[in-house]
Amino acid sequence: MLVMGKRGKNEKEYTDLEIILRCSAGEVRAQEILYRRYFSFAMSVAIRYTCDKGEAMQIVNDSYMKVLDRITEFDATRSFRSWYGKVVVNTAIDNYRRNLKHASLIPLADMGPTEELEPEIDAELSAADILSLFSQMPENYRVTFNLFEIEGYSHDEIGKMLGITASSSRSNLARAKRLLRELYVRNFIPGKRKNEAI
Amino acid sequence: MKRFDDIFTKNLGKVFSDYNADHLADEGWNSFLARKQGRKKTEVIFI
Repeated sequence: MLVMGKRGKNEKEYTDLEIILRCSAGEVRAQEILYRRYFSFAMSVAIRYTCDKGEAMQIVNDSYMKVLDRITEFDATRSFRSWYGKVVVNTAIDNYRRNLKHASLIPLADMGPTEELEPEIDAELSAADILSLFSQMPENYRVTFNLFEIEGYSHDEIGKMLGITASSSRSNLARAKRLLRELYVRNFIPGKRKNEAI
Repeated sequence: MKRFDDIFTKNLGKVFSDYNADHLADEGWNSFLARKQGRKKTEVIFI
């Protein structure tokens, strides 16, 4: 258990702001406490963009380095979690753009006749099942899906972040959703052919 | 019929909000420290 200060105050008793002030003074122990406090949160953001734990950890560490570099700029009236989350998203996007050459594009013709497909999803689908489906998507679709559906960015904003047009972002999202339906049918509805009415 | 996209997105959001990586925190912190020390060494070399 980490303990800060001479009186041995428990790490959980410190507010974010108290720890941030100590971080800005260069206290390594405070930096470790802040890192650990938000590690799962930061990983949960990063893993959405890579689906690889090692790469996600690298994104988290790059993000945390940026956070410490700019910790004195932190606006104490705002939430640290939200600020850190944005840094992780931006770092994940930088990482994605660096790896763009690995992105695969699936032609719509190869995706099967799923446009009208509206499978009934099992509301109790497990976390592992959902992550498995999500990880099967090409990176460019997954990133667009994340930014629009989970983070709430507009297509204009996504276009600027990814260096594509807003209409390409819309198209990627439509393809991502279509592919997800296709993957769901393939993976979780045994015996159903993809063009069979459901 | 339930809307696939809406339910999938909602489930996905929940999966990520419940995501727990605490078991990787030691490894993460150690690799962060190593990287930070590596950066300091590089800065010293360039100075």
